[in-house]
Amino acid sequence: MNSQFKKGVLDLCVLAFLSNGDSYGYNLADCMASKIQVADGTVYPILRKLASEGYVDTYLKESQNGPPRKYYHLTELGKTKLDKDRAEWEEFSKAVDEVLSSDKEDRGDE
Amino acid sequence: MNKKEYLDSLEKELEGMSYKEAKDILSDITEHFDSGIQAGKTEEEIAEGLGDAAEMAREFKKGLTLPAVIKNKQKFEDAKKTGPDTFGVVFVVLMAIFVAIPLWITIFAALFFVASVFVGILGIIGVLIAGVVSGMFSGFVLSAIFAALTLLFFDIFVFVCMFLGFKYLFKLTGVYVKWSKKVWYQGLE
Repeated sequence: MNSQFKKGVLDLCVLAFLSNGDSYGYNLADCMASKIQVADGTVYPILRKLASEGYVDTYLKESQNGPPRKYYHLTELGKTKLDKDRAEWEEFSKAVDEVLSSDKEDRGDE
Repeated sequence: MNKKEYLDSLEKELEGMSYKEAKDILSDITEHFDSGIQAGKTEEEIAEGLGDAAEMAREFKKGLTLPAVIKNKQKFEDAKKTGPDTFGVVFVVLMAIFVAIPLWITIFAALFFVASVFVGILGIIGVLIAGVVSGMFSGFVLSAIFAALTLLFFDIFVFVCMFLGFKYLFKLTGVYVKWSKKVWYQGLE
């Protein structure tokens, strides 16, 4: 799929994923990559950006076997951002759907 | 590519970022490798899955913490959208009425006084020169010229004071107006 499509909404996906509960980098990367087919590495710059903007914060938690892992947690600011971006995305994707389906109709009429 | 090779190439690509930031990123990616190995993947599989290190580094650099100036500007723009802050508005208005405007008028009046002194001295110099030229001061031409020159230097000094005074008054007024706008929308932080 067109990678330009994905870039814009990955932030939103990461926020949405974290709204279901805290998670660590590998888990996030794994889930994102399997669903949207992006490289595992793409989530890390996003997580870092979101953290610097205060949308997520991080803490270390012991793992069962191995060194502690960095967990990401959605902040209140992040929740607000998620709601806002989700609404914008829904509006946008609806508009795109409408344009695409009207395009089909026009062609059908000819 | 194994774990070490991937981290080495990422480290190279992160050049230009601060040491702390690069170290942080490398530790995140190291953790990713360790988690992947725990999940039963090989280092090569994980490196492959992570994608191009140069591309990742580019994204990290794009998301770099914004300079404080830009951040503050963004904060201001956001606050502007949500409308004025009640406390901020009250504070700005009271501050303007009781402090800023009286102070501004006082300073402006003082500078205006300095300006009139400047013009007054210029007038005296004019009279002295006119007197010398017309021969009215025939008995003490030298003293008149000397007095005119002295006054001229003094007047230049007065002019510099006045010029700097006005310059900083307007500069400070600008800063004050900007600050008031910020408080108006964001309140006191």
